[in-house]
Amino acid sequence: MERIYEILSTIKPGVDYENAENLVDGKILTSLNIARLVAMLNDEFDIEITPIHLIPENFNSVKSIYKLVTMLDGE
Amino acid sequence: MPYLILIFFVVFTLVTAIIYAVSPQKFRYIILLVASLISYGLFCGFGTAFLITTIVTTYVAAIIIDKISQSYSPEGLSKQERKKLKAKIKTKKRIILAIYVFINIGILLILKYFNFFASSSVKFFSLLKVNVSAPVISIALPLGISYYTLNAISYVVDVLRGKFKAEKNILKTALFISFFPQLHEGPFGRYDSLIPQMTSGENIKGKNLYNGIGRMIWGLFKIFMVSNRAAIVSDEIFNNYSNYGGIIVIMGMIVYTIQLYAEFSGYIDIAGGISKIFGIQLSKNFDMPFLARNVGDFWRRWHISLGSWFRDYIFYPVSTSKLLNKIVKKINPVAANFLIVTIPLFIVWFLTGLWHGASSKYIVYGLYYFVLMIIFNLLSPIADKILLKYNISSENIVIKTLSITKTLLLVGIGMLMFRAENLSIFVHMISSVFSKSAEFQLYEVIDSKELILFIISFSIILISAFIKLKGYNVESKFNTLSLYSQYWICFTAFCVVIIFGAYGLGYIPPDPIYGGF
Repeated sequence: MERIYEILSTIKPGVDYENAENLVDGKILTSLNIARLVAMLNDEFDIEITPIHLIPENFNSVKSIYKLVTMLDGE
Repeated sequence: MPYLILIFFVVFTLVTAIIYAVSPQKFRYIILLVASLISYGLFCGFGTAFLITTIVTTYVAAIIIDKISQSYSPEGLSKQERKKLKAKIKTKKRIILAIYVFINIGILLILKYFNFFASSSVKFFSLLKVNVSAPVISIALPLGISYYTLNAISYVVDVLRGKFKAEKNILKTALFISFFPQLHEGPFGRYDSLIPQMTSGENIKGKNLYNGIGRMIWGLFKIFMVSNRAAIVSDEIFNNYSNYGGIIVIMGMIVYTIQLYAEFSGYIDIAGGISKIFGIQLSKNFDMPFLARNVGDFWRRWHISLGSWFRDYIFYPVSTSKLLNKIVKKINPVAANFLIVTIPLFIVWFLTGLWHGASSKYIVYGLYYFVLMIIFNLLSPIADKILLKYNISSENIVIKTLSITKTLLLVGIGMLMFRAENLSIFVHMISSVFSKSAEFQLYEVIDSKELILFIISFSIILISAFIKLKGYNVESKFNTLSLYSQYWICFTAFCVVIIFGAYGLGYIPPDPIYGGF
């Protein structure tokens, strides 16, 4: 989880990621941010995030991102 | 033609709604399909064959892909074997998708882009002093081909991604692709959200009926009260561009932006209104675009359904592709971060430009936004850090106003390029802003009565946007009124459009701008 906070802060600093629950729906993260985030997550955790996973529910909060990473890591 | 389409849609919707209402619930979606195919056939004649081809290939491709997916049975296999089998199935599905896309994009390319590419090639070879000739295809572009082709592709790709199962009933697939309100100017829709609504056979309820009629009249208001009048001024400036310069060109740019917004969002309101009568909610296509803080934000508010189509079916697949990720892994992290966004963005904006029309102007139009987004992407983290350092909120009123003004200016330049006949005229107009001014007698172009009606009507649109911004939902309020009140509001608004609308003798109806795509 800590690593996800770090990655997000590199991509878009100044956001209260601990409490944010609408990163995509609230237009805090754009598709360009998501593209960078996916590349960094794939690299960092050796997972394969594909377009089917790229839905707002999976990226609205750090918790949901962590859940996605954990799920893909177990596959 | 534009009036004919609108009158046709109003009458056609009325007849369809009556037949729909008296039909048994389970057959109602067939009524919608028949109505869609009849309306398409009436407008396109032979062009219907292309629509039918897309329907049949879409249906077959989705069924085959689904069958391939079902053939995956991992029981008793080791992890390695499972991985191998998965990869094999994935390849098979992709081959079917590739054949399907080849057929449908092939039709689109030949009908819409062949002449452009052929004439560009001839020009290119003539530069090399090689004389070649190219055939010219003179088949009329089938109505809405760019819309229904992309809609159909989204359905097949979603089946491939496992988002839902392939539809076994070809009539339902056909309805999704050919639904008549959407075919003219969109918006793009997604199968999983639209088909349950389209096939539910919902009764025509008074609430939906008046809500739908209200939306249609609001759309007609935007087109006949605002857009058609704005067209009088913008046509004068753009058709006689060499006579004008300075502030007049800027005025032309602003008026054309108003014209395009009122017309396009008007047609979308009409499509949404017709669909609402049958209990179908189309996807949102506009969200106060002129309050956007940057050009990326603008495209998330303008023609939203097109932007989300390109995001989901081009941008994300390219940015997450193994090939691109393999390439960027080999370079330094800063360049990798840049390329992982830049390459897919370039493809998206090149295609977005091309989608708007078969000419180099539209390609440059798309790439203009690509360049702006890359610049924004590079500068925004720096701006974020500066704001953070000085503890300035991005919601600060000064920052917000500056961001919106800057975006309006950049979008305005894009609109100028979009409207100018070609790139050299665009360059001429841009340079004339600084190099010359010209006399412009507004009242010689548009008489005072028309101008006043335009200002009042446009003010109503602005007020409605302001009310929405303040959190007051006019549509919800309208829905809570009695059917009697709703009837009188619709009737009065319709009379206003009929009496004061800009149509008929003395007006040259402009062609629907987005209808040409």
